[in-house]
Amino acid sequence: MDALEIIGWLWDYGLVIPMINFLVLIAALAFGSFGIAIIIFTLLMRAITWPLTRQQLRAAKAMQAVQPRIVEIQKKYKDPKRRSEETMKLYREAGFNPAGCIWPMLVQMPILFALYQAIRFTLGETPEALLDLSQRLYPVPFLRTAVPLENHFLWMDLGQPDSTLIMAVLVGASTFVQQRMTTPTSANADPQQQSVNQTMMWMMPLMFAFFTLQFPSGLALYWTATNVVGIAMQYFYQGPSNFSWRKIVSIGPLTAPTPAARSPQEEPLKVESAEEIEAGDATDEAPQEGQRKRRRRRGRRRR
Amino acid sequence: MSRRPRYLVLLTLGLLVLAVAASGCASLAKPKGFASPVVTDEGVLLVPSGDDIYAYDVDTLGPLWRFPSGDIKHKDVVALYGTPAVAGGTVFVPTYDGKLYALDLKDGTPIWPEAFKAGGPLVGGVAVANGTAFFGSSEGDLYAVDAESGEQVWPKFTTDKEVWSTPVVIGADLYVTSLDGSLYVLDPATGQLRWSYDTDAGVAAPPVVDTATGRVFVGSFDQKLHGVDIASHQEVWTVKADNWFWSRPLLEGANVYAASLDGRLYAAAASDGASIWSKPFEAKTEIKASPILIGGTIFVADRDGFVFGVDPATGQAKFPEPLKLANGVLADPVELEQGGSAVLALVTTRGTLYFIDPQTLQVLRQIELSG
Repeated sequence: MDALEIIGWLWDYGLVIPMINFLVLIAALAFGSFGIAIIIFTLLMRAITWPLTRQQLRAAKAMQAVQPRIVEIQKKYKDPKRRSEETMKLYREAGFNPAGCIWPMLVQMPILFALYQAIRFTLGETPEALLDLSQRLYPVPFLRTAVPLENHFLWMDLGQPDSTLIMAVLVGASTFVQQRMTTPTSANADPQQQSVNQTMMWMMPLMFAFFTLQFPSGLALYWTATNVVGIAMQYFYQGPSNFSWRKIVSIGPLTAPTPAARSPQEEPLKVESAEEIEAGDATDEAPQEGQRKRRRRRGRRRR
Repeated sequence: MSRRPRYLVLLTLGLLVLAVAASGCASLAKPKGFASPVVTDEGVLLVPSGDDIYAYDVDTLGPLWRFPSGDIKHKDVVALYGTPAVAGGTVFVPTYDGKLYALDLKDGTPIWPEAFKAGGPLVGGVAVANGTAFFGSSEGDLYAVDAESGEQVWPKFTTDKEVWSTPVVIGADLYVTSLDGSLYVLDPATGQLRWSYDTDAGVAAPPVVDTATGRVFVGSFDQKLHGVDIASHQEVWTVKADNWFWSRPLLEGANVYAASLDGRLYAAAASDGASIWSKPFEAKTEIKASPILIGGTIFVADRDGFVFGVDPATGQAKFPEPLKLANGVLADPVELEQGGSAVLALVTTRGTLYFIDPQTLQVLRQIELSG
């Protein structure tokens, strides 16, 4: 076996085939409904990837906390190289990895591709696909007798692209909201950079919405469900008071508020790491106590 | 945004686009078809392959016609899965785009003004009896259409899942199976249900009726071959395999032979299901094509293109080595007569028509079907 064959074997036997059997198992337990199986699968995947998601949320929180300091750096250093060095130093102190927001996406990608293949095999839209499925089910009678599965869910044929635009809209909208919630506010007042960020913010949802029109709607169902769960996770993790839904769904760029001017005698802003921020929030016995602590911190900074 | 995160974001987006584009090249599986050849009493060999059906003279193997042959009107003909039926000089061709065509056997021209449009893709074959063509669709419906006019004879009979098998008419009964797991027996004149028998999983294999023993044999996705008594509608015996039964069982004398997707050929007595071999015959991979008996030898072809000759009495290989074809076989083989000798003909998944000597398991001739 050469390297490519080995990779292919690992992909099939390590990911796709177990996923196929798992989906068939869940569907069989869910009265043969593949749509319900996809939703349950989504919930399980989000539960398994929760540590990664939590890390991302903590990083986002840390990023938010250091925004005022970033603005100071932007104003203080004119040399782009020095500015970049100081910014990266600040990130390190805060325990924030700028590429951290990418990892959840990179983890989701192989799952998405494997799920796409699993859907193609499992729903057996063509007779050849059903034949292929027969060779990918584990020799467990319960699994072998569970197919063919019910491929209709709500208005969709899960093995075919959604002929309405409903899933495309749901995928695009949920991707947009999820992205807005996880992207930290930009402290960079540079209009060109903001334009780039805005483009990124719109491109991903539109791209995924477009893909929805090409691929089985089962995949779109998974992506929408995973976004919705992610949105709910973040909402409850960061606390309802930290969100402005109006800002999330607005079209304009997300920008940090301009920090109040400080006199040269003021102490530099204290950089709290993600763990410190989380620990600080966690030890608050009541929201009022947390608010009092934050007021005390601000007071110390002003002196 | 600093340069490093920007590059990472662009790299991620680029990988995403590349990967999805690569997936998009084969975004949804294209149906290819695996309809089986048919030999007519008029000496015509009909060979479906891909989106076309080819007609050859049995004696000379000269091409006669091809449908749809680039005809713009029929450009939507897609993938032939169901075995065509021939009756009264008319060829009935079911297609994956959901239409039943009636063609003149002499020249392949359509007989009906318009093809009959069913509710979904047609995967099973056609049965013709008493001037009526019967066939099932992927919407779970069984249709009865007048062979001459193409008009529907009775309202479609609906099952709960796809009808992917070829119906069978024996006497006054119409037998059809469905992926909802049931065998249905109807009145072919009215479409009224007479009785049904349920297996534990979907059924894609056509039933085989043994009038001598009064049994009907049904291979199912529950990994069993069921022997059902026609009079009592009760299961009499089952033969267990390790994967689905999909192909039509072969009934020869008092025995029934059934191939499974576990790659084995099973043999049982039709009366009580008792195994007549010490163990099933093992092919190399799954067997979708039906077994065929020619000259005292059972021939099976597996999905990898290995063709085996099996002794029906013992289940042992009759030839030291199987014949390896260039591509796999999913369509049922047929027997035809050339020069007074029997010849085994089968078509591979890549559209190569092979003629094989059943005495020596050697290829006599092969024809590359184009399109």
